[in-house]
Amino acid sequence: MAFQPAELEVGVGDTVIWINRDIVPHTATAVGKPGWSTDTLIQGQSGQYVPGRAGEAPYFCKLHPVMQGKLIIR
Amino acid sequence: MSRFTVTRLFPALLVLVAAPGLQAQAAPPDLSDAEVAHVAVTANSIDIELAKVALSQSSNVEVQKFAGTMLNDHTAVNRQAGALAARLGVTPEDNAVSRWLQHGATEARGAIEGLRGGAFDQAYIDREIVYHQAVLNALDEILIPTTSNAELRKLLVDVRPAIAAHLEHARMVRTSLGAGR
Repeated sequence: MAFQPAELEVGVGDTVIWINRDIVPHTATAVGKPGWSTDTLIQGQSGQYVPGRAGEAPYFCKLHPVMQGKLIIR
Repeated sequence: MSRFTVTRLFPALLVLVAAPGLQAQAAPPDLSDAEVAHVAVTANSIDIELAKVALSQSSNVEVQKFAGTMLNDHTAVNRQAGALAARLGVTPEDNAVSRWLQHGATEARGAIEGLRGGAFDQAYIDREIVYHQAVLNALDEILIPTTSNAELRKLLVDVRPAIAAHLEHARMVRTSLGAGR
């Protein structure tokens, strides 16, 4: 159970889309301050985020905190 | 206890329970697909029931979140297992592995239900660690190898990462509760 890829390089203003291919529900939720999050996504649903500025954006699944990912925003 | 010992414990115990009077053997039991489906539904239902106990009795935020995830995830898996069994025309059949899981669950529930506060939280999370480890062992050593239907086997394989993540999640919560007893 993991974000694939766990690390992704994107540009400011790109649209990042997460698709849940798992049986159980997931979220992609910012670690700490920025506060962005997808809704809870059941199997087959997708959620998105458009990064507004450069930097590293670590995120996790609120329901499964062992699942962690990172956007590297250029 | 070493990891290896824990891994080997399950089938040995299982054979003892399933065939009292016989000597423990290393060979896993051979289950039909209908029996595997019953084990899967039983294993999920057990964790759903215990999550409901935790949701009503715990006031710890991390324990509540964990129990909520267990309730949702195991409900989602059971929904898929039920739909697949219906589509395949398989009626889940009770068997020794299901009874072994249910027996352990009844005992565990009896031991922790009367606890309150931090003692409850620790006992619940400790049980979840042991339980998810046992389910992983059952998947690897009994359920996945014995299943003949490809779709049912794929469901078990697809579920395994969630069970492993639950185990890691339980260990995280256990660490947050502290080591003290």
